[in-house]
Amino acid sequence: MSTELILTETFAGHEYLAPPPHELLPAIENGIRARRRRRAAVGAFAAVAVVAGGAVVAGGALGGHAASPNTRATSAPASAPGRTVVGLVVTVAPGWLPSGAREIARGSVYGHSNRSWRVGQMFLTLATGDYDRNPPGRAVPVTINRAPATEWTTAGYELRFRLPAGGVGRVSISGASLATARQIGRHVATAARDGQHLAVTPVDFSVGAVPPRAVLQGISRAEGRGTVYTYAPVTARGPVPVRQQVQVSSARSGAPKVGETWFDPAGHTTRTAVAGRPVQGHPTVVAEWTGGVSLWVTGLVPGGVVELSGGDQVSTLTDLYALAGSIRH
Amino acid sequence: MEFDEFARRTLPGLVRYAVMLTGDRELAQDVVQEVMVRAHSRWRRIQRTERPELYVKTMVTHEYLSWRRRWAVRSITAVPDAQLDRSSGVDLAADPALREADRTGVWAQLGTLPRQQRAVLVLRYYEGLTDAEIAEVLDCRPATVRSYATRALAALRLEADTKPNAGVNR
Repeated sequence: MSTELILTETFAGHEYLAPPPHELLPAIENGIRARRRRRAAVGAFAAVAVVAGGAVVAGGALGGHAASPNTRATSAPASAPGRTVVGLVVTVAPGWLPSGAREIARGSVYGHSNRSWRVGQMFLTLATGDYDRNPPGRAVPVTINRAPATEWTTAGYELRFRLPAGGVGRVSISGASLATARQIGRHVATAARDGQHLAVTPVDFSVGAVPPRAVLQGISRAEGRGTVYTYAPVTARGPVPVRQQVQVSSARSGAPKVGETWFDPAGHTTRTAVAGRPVQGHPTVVAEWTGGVSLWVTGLVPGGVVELSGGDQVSTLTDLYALAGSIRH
Repeated sequence: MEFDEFARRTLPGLVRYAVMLTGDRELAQDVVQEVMVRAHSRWRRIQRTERPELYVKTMVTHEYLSWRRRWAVRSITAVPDAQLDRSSGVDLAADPALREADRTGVWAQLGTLPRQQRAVLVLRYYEGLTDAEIAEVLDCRPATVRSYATRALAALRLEADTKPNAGVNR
């Protein structure tokens, strides 16, 4: 076999890796808008107006997106069913990673970004925001890029540091010796940069509608674990109680069987899964829980189950059916 | 032609090309996204060029090269999986039959090539460009392109039996 044929076939055989253009176009539009805003912000007036208005003008090819104050340079899906979902963006990027690092997860939820990589046995996450509690153990002060930072090494490795634009960055590492984790963590933190606009595109399905009392606040995707969409009220600035949140996910496998029962600790009662009405020709299972209801649709994505869980302060079962009806893969 | 139309028409090919260069879906996406945003701001200039598509493809190539350079310069010496495969005694190139049967092995070996060499192979065998056109994209001489190609094929233990201009038009 000729060299040309070997290489031509090898390249052609990996074309499947290319994401479909419709996943990329929204991210490009976001990037263009972000660039325009940066230019407009030279006089500061335009940028202030956008933030104060709590809205981002969304238009272009896919148009008509709802906007959230947290999405900043991002957009949420339109309310019209069947429309391609637009990914939120990740604002942090590594300026350096260990050789062989492979990105396995990416998410943007409530304005906080996270990206994860696997390097051999090591698992590395770079994220923004300090909304979590501090890790256990003694906090050790260190310096990253001449700014104070804090390291924890009791349970795994975590480093919280100041990003160039002023936000909080976090590096966490597991699966490596402490010395290696510390060395790599400091390298990653030193080179990390924010102000990026990298798309978070869904792995396996998109949702073409939004719950009536919520906006898209986040998308996360992980290799082998599918996609999670998070919806919450437009006023949410961070993680909210489950009653105020709707999640659509393919991350959890398996639906309960009809008639299956379990104890609901919050309601001190026993719950039973019941058959729901079919969605797009696929069977469903419904189960109530204290503060909301869940709907599972089997077969909506190839070989998997989509779970829709909605808190009762922002959604009803009817809303979940509408969301499920708008899902495309 | 408006930028929107250009983007819609060329994006599929650009993304596939970026995947061949980077070997990674996410990175390809990032590279193309970055380039298209820049191309939008320079669109008036780009649309006046003879081949806007080639111009943007060149931007993608340079973004890949510079991105790789940024990373490579600061990279510590972790051992890539492909190198581990080689050192583990499983030599994909030792048995031509195995190599022919396993395109994944060739793909993995492509990942070990220096960036310019991989770019030359992608431009020549995937994009079907001539060495002169590749030289234009990479901003180097055709002789340098041939040198990169020879070294890349040697590293892959493939024979340089293909004529430089024999690429397939895609």
